Amino acid sequence: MSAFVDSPFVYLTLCSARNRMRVRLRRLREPRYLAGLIVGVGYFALVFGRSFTRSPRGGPRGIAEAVVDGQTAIEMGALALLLFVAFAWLWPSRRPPALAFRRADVQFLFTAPITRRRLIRYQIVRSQLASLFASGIVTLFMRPGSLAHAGLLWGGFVLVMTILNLHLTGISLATVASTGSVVRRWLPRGVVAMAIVSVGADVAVRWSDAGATGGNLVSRAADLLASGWSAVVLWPLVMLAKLPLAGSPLAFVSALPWALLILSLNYVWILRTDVPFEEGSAELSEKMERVRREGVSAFRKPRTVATPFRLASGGPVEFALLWKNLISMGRFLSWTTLVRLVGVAAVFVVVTTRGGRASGTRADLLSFVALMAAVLATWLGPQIARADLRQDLAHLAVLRAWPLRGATLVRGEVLAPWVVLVALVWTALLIAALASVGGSWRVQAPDRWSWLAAAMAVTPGLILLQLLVQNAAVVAFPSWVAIGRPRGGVEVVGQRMLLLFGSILALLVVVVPAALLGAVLFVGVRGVTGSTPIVLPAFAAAAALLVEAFIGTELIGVMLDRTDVTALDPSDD
Amino acid sequence: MIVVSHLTKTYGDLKAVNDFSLQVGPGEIVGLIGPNGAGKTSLLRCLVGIQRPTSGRIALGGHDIVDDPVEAKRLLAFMADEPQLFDYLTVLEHLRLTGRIYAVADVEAKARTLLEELELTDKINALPGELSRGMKQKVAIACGLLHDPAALLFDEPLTGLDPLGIRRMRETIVMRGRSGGAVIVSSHLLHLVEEICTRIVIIDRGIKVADGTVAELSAQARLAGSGSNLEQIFLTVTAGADAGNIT
Repeated sequence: MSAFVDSPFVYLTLCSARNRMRVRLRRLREPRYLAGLIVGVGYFALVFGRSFTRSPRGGPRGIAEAVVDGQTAIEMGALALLLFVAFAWLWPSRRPPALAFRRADVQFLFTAPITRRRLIRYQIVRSQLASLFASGIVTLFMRPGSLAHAGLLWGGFVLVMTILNLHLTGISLATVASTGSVVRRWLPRGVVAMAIVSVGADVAVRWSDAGATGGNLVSRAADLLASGWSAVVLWPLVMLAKLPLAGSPLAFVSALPWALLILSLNYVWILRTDVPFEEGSAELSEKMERVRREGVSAFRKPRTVATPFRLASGGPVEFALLWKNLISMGRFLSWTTLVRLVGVAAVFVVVTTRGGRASGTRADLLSFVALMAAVLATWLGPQIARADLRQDLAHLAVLRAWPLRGATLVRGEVLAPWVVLVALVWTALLIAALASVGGSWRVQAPDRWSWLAAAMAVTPGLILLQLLVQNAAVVAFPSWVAIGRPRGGVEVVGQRMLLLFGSILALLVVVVPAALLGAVLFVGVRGVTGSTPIVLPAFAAAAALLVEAFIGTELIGVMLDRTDVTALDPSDD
Repeated sequence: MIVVSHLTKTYGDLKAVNDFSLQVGPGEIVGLIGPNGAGKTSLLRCLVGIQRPTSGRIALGGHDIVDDPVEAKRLLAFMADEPQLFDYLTVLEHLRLTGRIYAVADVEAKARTLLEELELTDKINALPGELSRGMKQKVAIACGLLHDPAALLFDEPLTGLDPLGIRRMRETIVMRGRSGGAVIVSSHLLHLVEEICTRIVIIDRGIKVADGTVAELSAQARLAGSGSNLEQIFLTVTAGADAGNIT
């Protein structure tokens, strides 16, 4: 006990927790944090309060049972765990083994007379603190219904997350530890691959033997997984899956000893793996620090790409900023990103077509998907594409040193995301219109090409105004927005919600004049000619939007010129 | 005290440190200099156990840093070029933590003496976020000196310090050397190295290209002895590193 209390790690953890709490409480003296806290607490109370006031979902088992029965959920959960572990073994990270130490850990602890085992133990325990919190959030989301059920759920999630965390760490260390021996390197992977293949073969063979038809396919698969060879292979994972999916305290307690045994085996395995993790951890700590400062984009490896166009030595400065930000956006785009986007689109297509909403010809489907892509890019794109002041305001001191007006800077900064998003949206709209020619959609008067022209006219202004609203928020409230880096805490969630509502309100306000102008023209022309005018009102509205955007850049520019560099808030977390 | 034998450190195909050997005895202050990317930081990180050597051996007080790291590190203090402190520990708590790690007796008194020496007394309860870079550097140095290490490694020790801090730091390094510490100072400030170091080691592209006192290096570099300084020696040696080593 004395050794525990005297441990430098315990001292470090307790002092840090106490001081962190003090800092959080102290900053509530500032209205921005207090307001954020009130809104954040209100939000969480509203969302999670339902756990105890509305009908319970019954935890993951309850949710799963809405689709399949409890035993099926456990078997499928075990199968998911097997696939997850197998993926980690068969495609291990190529990076050196690393435990997520901080840079201060590296400087203070790696150079100190502390054994490698103690360092690993400290890091394992520290990383579990985060999973305690994460498990609590997941538990509340599941609406367990009663406090006892909530306790079981939370305990189950904590144990499963801890074991998975340990196992992944072990894989990372073992991959390097066994580099010298072919047998040691390939044996675990072979075992895992055999487990996957044997379970697959077992289910496939008995599936045809059973000869059953009809019924729920998932339930049939689960029945087969629960018997025969598959049951033997999956048994340890079934014990883990039972923890959060246990329907009763008895079921939880019956699975608990086995889960604890698996936990202990993983723990001992990691401690016995004598691997030089320091170098990888030092490297990772540098990356984590960059993530803390710059956001998750710091984890992505930038690539050297060809410049989008040759930058002339003269001409408008806005083009220089466009050039810079296009390069910045291009550095983080890759084929992997494209494949992921296509994957998301494919899932979207499958989901939408299953409901019959886009049933019909391929042309209809393509047209529908392209149209949805255009809508999503217009609506969500300005929030996702942040290669503007939302990134660059962190370097305000540098921007300020340039001989430029604030309005010029604002226009230059928003150009890159605007150009990219407009190109995306126009392409999607064109595809939608062209595909619809061969489809069965009946386009109302005047015709599809008029609608296309109207949409292509309006979307650039809408995108630009959204970008400007987002940038205005950063310039007006620099310390409220995570400039380049993520921040945490309930009060920060509240701040983000306030900003989100404010941004939506501002957008609505600036769109109203253009919409009114378009509506007046529409009614007027229709009254005179009797036709349905689309293009003229759209172009008028588009012009109004662009004029508003120009005025907006001037106003934001004035705010930017007045922004105090010290108003940026890089110190707290 | 510090013995480096045929140390090589590679990153993929790149040899950051190549067959490097060095001995630093008690009371010696060795200046480690070299151009950017020469391998100084890799060498220091291997010396303190943050990185594992690809080949070769490092011993501190007879203890191998790979085979017997705990005993080797007990003798060691490393002051990095960019001090990293725990975000939520105060200045005094950093020293108390260090005291626990190294089992320092009477840590409170020693800590307060060091903080007074480094003019940090009024920042005793401040968190790192409230400190300037120079102050953070001083905290890291105070932590390093708390357990009276026998081997001290300084990586760019003067970065971020004010003139008074620079003077104090120079005095501290010299004092530690005089009291029997084996000291390695890595710096680009050649006048500092020339002033306080008893021996100079020049590293270029991972290879030790010069080792000796300023006078010895001057003679070996065939510069006019009386007028030559470390800057001239450095430029001559690193420019002619391909031609042959001076040791």
